[in-house]
Amino acid sequence: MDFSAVSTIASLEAKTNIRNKWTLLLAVAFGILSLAISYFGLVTAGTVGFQGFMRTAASLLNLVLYLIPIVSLSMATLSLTGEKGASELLFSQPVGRIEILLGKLLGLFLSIWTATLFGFGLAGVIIAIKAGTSGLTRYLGFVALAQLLALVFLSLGALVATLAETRAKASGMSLFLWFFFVLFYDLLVMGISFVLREKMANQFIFVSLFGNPVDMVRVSGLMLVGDVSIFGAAGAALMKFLGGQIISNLLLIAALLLWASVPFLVAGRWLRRRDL
Amino acid sequence: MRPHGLERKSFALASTLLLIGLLVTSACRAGDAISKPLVVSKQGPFRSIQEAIHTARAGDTIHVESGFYRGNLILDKQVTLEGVGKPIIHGDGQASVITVTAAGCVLRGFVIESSGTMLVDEDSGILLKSSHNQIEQNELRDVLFGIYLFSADHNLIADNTIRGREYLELGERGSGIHIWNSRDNVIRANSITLLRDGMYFQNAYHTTITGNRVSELRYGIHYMFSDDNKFEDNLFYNNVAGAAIMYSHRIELRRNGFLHNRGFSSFGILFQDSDDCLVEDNLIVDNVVGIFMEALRRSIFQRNLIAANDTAIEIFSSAEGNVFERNNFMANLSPIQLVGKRTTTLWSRLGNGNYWNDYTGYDLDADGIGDVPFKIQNVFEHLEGNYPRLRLYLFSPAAQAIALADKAFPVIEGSKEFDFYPLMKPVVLSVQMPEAGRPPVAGHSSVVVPLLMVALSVFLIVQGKKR
Amino acid sequence: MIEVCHLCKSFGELRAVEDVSFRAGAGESFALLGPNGSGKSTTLKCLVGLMRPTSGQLLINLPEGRKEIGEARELLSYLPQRVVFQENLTVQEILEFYRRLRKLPAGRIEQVLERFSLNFNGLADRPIRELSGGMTQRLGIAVALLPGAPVLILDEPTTSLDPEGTIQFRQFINSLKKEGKTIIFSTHVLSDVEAMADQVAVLVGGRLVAAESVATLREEFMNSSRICLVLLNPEERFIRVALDAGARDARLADRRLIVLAAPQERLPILRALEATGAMIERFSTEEPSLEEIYLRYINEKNPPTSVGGNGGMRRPSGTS
Repeated sequence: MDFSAVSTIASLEAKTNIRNKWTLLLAVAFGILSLAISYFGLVTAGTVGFQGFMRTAASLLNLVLYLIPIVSLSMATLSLTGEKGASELLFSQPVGRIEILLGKLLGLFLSIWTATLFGFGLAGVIIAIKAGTSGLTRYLGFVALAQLLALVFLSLGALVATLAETRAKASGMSLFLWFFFVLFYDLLVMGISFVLREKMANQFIFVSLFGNPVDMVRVSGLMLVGDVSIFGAAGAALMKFLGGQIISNLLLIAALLLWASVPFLVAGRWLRRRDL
Repeated sequence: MRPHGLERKSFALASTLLLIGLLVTSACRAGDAISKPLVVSKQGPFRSIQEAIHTARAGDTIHVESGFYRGNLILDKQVTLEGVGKPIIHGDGQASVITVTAAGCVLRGFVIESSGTMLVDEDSGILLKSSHNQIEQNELRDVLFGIYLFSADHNLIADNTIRGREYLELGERGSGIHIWNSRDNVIRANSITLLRDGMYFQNAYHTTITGNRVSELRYGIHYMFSDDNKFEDNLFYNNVAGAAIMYSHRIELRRNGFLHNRGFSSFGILFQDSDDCLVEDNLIVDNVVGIFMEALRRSIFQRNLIAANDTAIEIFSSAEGNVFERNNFMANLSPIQLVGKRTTTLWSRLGNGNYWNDYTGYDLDADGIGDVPFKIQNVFEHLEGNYPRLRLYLFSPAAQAIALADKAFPVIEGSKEFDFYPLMKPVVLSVQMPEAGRPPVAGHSSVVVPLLMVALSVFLIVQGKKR
Repeated sequence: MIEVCHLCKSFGELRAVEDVSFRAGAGESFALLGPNGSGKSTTLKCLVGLMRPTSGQLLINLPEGRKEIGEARELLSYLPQRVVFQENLTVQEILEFYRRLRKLPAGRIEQVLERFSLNFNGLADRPIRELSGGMTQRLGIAVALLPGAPVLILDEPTTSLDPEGTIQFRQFINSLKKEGKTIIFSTHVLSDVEAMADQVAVLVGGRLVAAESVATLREEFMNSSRICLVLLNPEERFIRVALDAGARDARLADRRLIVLAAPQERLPILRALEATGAMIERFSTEEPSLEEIYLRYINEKNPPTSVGGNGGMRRPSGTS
């Protein structure tokens, strides 16, 4: 793997994306939303004088769950399904296609990271002022989780873009993927769980978590900002099923990393065999 | 969470020990009072406290000057033992450091450390086996139990600090203040930390518990078969669980704080099989479950702040005839979790409901009461009560979609829990958030990191834009 | 230097390139001439690794022996048919990017720009969106020239250049040839071939219909130039007269007599027509369109059954 080529491609990709008005719009929108959530969440709490870090972080998590996947998917598909002339020159260079894909994804990641860091930072300032230091490390962990989610959906976006070939098809597919992972998957799993026997139903739900990166980020995010006890008996059962809190955290993180790398590798394989 | 076996066992053992204690007491002879205090110090006249007690007559005062005194003590006659300049009484590391067998003793101003290690022998800092004593301003440390009231009535336990053995597992430690088979005691302004349970009550009646602070241990209050006790202005925070009140009647909880109790299936206050309790003006904040009630009957909850809990209230259908009135429910992840079909809980009384910060109704006649009844649970929360696994979908877009869809087109037979008189504004509370529950004031350092994040982001954007 | 042996490329049912073979040596410039959709771009993309040949071999001769071209991609430099850059990046950033990607020394950009006197008129720090089409193409050319690769593969390099740019570009190519580079380019403009190519191959419908020297092609080409005469007395007999005077073909449409003839035949034909009483109102000469030449090649080299009415020009979507 030619890492200097990867980093050259990544930095140009980041540059062009950061100059893109959409990225700036994302930074501003995400900043305003997270500022609003943290400010109002903590101000209403402040009148009665208690710490509202968890609730605030949970609301931020919600924002992350909706926004990050669609932003990552569309940024990846837009960048990877551009006009032919743009990619032909690049792909004719003596650099592997995997390297190019990786560089592009890293560049996109860097720009999403930059844009969301702005919002997370602003919200973090409010949280630090209103709720104090206690939540800070957990908050940073939470921010990292959001970035991991971005990575997963960039990788899925790369897969969609290489499969679809045209931009319109890719946009349609990414919209579907977003809808599927954010909403439909959970509804489906819940529906099926009601048909199953009680014991089976629990295990089914636990296993099903690993099939949806949005769920994994939600569960580990809530476990991080609150505690696994936030899920009550279900949380206890999940911990027992997975083998303790440390192991389940590791499992969730590992699964997310897998989700971030497998679609990318599949996309890379596809891209290598494809005609441009 | 609901221990039974251990209590019975220690009850039997305690009875045996009581018998031994009585024998010891009767063996001591009562002395005459003298006006001048006996002085214990390194220079004499008495060099050992036990020696002074031995010499003293009932009613005597013994002054112990600061220093390090080795050995367990037995107060077997009515004396006032007063530490001057915090003398240290260092126990043998066996049994209890100070055992009080005579009634009417005063023990004040000592550091008491190094008790024994046997839970079954009630190895304590101070073991009280008599009545009408005053235990004040002592600092107990490195003790298995703190202060153990063993069939001891009318005692005053005030302004003591009790610190347990941090190095032990939670289950291997004793309680801070352990009250067994006692009545009419006053527990005031003690500070208890790093033990198993903060206060343990069993068959303890008519106790007044005020102004104590209990933190960093398992249960703040572990409580059963104890009626007519009053808890006021106490603070229970950062424990695995706040208070577990079981099998008791007529308990009053007033102006207490149950804060940051965040263990597994933890709670601020748990009620089980209890009746006629009054819970008012308490702060129940940031617990996994704020109030947990199973078979609680005829109890009243008013003017409490129930906020920032994962679940504000978990109710089993066995809880009957309880009333919630003018409480503030704020920023809880879910307001109630109902296990069973429905409850007979009333969410308002005489036209007064509660304040729910999720309430979105309106108040056209401006009487401060919302015109639309508040449906406390959304359909998803309702389902969660009977399908705990659904809790895993907390904060998931899918759960939000279901709740939203149900609001627009109610098809599923949902929750029957309504507050018919929801308040438009939060109730003004008489209690202030204690320091322990307040968010720590942000130091500069905590703002620096997020500020750096913003700065880094702005820097990168500017770098990217620069041609 | 470059050898293409029996290259075939199909997209599903569609055969975009069929059995194309040619070779281009060092210091030689090779033109692929053909109409849109004839498979020129596809051939070049196969060469440069953007597409995988369905069958056939693409080889490069190196001092150390023959190699598959895919293993020596650093020796190739490619200019796509339509160059598009991210429009919010600057000229300098693009050049810098490709310099780094090719791991070229720092001063390389200035060196190349100077060597080929490619200047961007002070636009080097402006974003691409402010560049004209010609300027963008010029940037594409600069990127292609940047690595100094021994093999240049250029897909319709002159399309969006202005006349001045075209002339300048032809000069680059000639000087690169002198340096011993191999240049393979596609075009549908005959004058490009004349100006730059040593060898030319005509590609129609994915098939190579002629591969010969430029001189031969030129001859073929000129042989089919036309004279269009507007007659005051259009009579059928003049067709015979023209053919007898050496025309390759002649036909009459209304008052126009169209005569197909090589340039040197023109005068005798005109004389013969005048001598037999044709009253010429005016006349003009027309060079043949490339389409016509392709059609002629097809009709000559292939039996008409194998290629259809419109010259067998299959237009695979997205491969022109």
